[in-house]
Amino acid sequence: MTIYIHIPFCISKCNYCDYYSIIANKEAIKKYINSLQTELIKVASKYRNKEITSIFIGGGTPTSIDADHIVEILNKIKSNFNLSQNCEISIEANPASNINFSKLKETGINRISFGVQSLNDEELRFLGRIHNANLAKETIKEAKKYFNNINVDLIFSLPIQTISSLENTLEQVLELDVQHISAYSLVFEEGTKLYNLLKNNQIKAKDNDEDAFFYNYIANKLKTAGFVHYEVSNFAKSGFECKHNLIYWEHKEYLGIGAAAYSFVDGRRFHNIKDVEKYCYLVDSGFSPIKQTEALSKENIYMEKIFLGLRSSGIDFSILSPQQQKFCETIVDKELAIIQILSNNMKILKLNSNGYFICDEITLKLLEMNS
Amino acid sequence: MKNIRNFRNFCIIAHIDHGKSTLADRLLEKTNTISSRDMTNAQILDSNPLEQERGITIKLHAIQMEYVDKSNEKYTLNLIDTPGHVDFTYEVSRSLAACEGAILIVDATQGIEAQTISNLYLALEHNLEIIPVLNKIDLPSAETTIEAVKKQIIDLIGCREEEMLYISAKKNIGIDAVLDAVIERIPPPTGSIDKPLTALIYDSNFDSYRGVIVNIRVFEGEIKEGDEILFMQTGMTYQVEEVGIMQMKRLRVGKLSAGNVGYFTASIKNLKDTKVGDTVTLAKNPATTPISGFKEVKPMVFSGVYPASTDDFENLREALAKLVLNDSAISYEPETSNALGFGFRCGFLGLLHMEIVQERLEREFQQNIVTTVPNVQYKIITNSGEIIFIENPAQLPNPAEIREIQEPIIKAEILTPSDYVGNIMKLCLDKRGISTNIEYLSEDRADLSWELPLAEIVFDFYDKLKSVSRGYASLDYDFYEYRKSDLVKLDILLNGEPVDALSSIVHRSKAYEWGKKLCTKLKELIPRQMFEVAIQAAIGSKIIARTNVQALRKNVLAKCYGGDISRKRKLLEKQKEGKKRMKQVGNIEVPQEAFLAILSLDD
Repeated sequence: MTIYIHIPFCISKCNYCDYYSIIANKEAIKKYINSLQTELIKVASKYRNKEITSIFIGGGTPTSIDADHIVEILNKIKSNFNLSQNCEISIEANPASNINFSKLKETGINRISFGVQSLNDEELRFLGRIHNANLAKETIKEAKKYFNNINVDLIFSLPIQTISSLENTLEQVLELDVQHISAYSLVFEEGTKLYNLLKNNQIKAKDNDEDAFFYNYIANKLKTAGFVHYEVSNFAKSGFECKHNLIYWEHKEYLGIGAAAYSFVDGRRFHNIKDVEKYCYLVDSGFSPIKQTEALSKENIYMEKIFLGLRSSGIDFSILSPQQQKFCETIVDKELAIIQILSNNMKILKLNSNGYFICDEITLKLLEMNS
Repeated sequence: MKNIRNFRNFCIIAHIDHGKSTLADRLLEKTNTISSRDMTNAQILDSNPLEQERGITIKLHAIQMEYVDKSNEKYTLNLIDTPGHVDFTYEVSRSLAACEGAILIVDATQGIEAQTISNLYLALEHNLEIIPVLNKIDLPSAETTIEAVKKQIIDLIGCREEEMLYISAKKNIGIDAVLDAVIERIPPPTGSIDKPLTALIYDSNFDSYRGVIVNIRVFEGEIKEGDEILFMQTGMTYQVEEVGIMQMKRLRVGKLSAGNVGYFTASIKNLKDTKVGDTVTLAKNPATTPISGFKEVKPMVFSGVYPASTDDFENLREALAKLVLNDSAISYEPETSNALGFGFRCGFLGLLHMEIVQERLEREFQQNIVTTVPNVQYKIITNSGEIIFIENPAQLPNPAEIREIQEPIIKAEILTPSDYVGNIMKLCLDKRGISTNIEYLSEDRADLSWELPLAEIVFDFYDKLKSVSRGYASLDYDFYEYRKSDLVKLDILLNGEPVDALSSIVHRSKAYEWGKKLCTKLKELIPRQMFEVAIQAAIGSKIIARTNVQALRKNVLAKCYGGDISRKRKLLEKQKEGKKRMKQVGNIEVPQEAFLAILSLDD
């Protein structure tokens, strides 16, 4: 099992972001951290026998709060759960000059993920980021003194982005010599500033073909630079694939702690209430903060295995019907996927970069043949 | 025993929205056939929801009313409804044949319209007494239009101004005068109870308990329960079980005599055995001649009807079997298509009839169906002199074996205001028509006679005619003959494989243009998918047009949403629902509309 800790605080809201995050004062943050620890201790008793293989502290911006809070939380986890020998402990961060890297390293964090998004200042302003390209680079250089497993998050297909500005960003990122890169195509989520601009025709989204062109450009460039494309949006130097990330795609268990955190444990998916104040109130009064639970049916599980597998490490041939297997051969013919035989003789269908970008289409085809 | 002199049999002729149903409702109220309290919003005569939506009547209805006039004389009024579309002209003519008179109702603010005219002409052909009625006189705008409308009617039927009635069916003004006119002007039926039974079948429908319910107008003699009857056209005999009249419900009365309208049942299992227009007589004492005007109703338009999911073939078969119980004009034969699997080739009276049947299958029988482009029946003469008829382009023999192909030609009568004659001639020429006559009925109204290939009519002729004449022209057509024509089969290939359900038979002069347009249309309709799809149009082995649908480049929800897998799953399920209306042809997903692409080539 893995643990996800949600820190829903940011210094400001970005133009594209629809995740639950708020801008709060120190008092409120302190209260939240206390409630989060209460929840942690309360659920720990249920999962004492499960080994924790990774911890991910995400947000929001976890590094925007006092590093001592992170230390507190990790200490609570260490004393209440059974952590594996080489447990991956990641934290999300945004470029800033005041991050206490040494404290984070000291408390056991061994992977850091930066929300860089772009290394073009105009694009950063468009996204509503509060850092510029230079600060991003300086922050990462500083982090490298402490960590040898660093991720850079990028967003592509911005309306104002060109192939040359994308190339420029990628080259600068490669120069930083990080181990992991995530590249997400910009999504105009309802309720965000960019969504409203799009709706009012003030900006124009890239169409799917342009988007695919940008995506392929990134995939090729990173492949040449020695990265493995191991999930739709994720690239890593061999051995640096994010364990926590893979958990989601491999249909394995994760326990989310904190407001708006999602969990998948014992065949059930559930998530906590979003609102921080309500979350604190429920936890502090001894109630469960879980807002909704979904027990997965056999069909749900089958569907998840297909679509999660296709978007990452592949799907096991043995769960496919002969008709589906035949279809898999067609997509291999069309150079959208490869068939891998693992050392244990397991046969796997794994999409390549071309296949990843239409993986929902391939999923639907496979599901249709099953129904 | 009612006196034959006290019967009145009539119908109402009107354009959609001119107030036919409202007037019918008022008549039912006035005669206490129904109380206004029982009236719902929907009008009584249009009982099928499809009819209400489209403002047309598909199945015929009749209703009997009792009316006592000013001199306290009691009358029996039979109001016979008529369907209102070119596909059902024959049915209209049979229900008119059951009447002695007709109320012509015209909206005083709109004037007479095209649809009314062809039915009015049919009524005049049957020597019906016409009662002209101007409706909606309560509307302020009627003041400015009424004089012109009056003149129109006088020109058209040659009546005197005093004969016209002025009413508002909605406001219940002038309804008594209508009833009085029905009594005074429409002649009572003639006929004698002592003569051998002669009754006209003007409609029939199926009841799962009693079998076929045959709606008749008795001209001579009498029909009663227990009689052994003979259908003169089909030669079949039955024993009558129940005889009655239609009020708001069926009312069993035991017998019907000359002059009256009603129904009977005789354990008839198959609707096809009771042909509209057939004559009912007594087996033991038959009439010498049947009522004239009988025609065998034959399907003119054919189309493939397939279940969207191949598993539903048996369900579709059952649904068709049930539908045919209520609509004997449909024919259906099982057929197979390499693209669509197992389905049926269905025959319809015309395009509207086809649409109605398809809609009924979907709505009343919950069938998810795919239909192919409609076509006509072709006559093929092979080199060996054999004659074969085909109803499906895919059945066309190898061109090397064909001596000639003949196609059905119709004679069309088009009535139009003279302003649109030019437009209509152009349209007909474009549809390979030959003009045979133009007659000016008045200075501003023309009657055009054309010979046209039926195949050109079944696509979109009617809509085009309406559009080039701003809705004023009306069309009436009848099969004329089979005629030799230079026709070719146009095939569509997807990724090199011919898709039989997309084949069509077209005139050689139009094949190139059609092929090109069809490819372009299909490109719009076929969504981008995992692999590129090549679309080609071919005549035999010759490719005459091509285009392609590029491979899909993106369909992925890449964001992680912090482990919210349920959200991703639900979004995928939504996409999955959206894909359900696609048909799998080989590896290619083809939306159902693509099989009807030809119909919208000019859009």
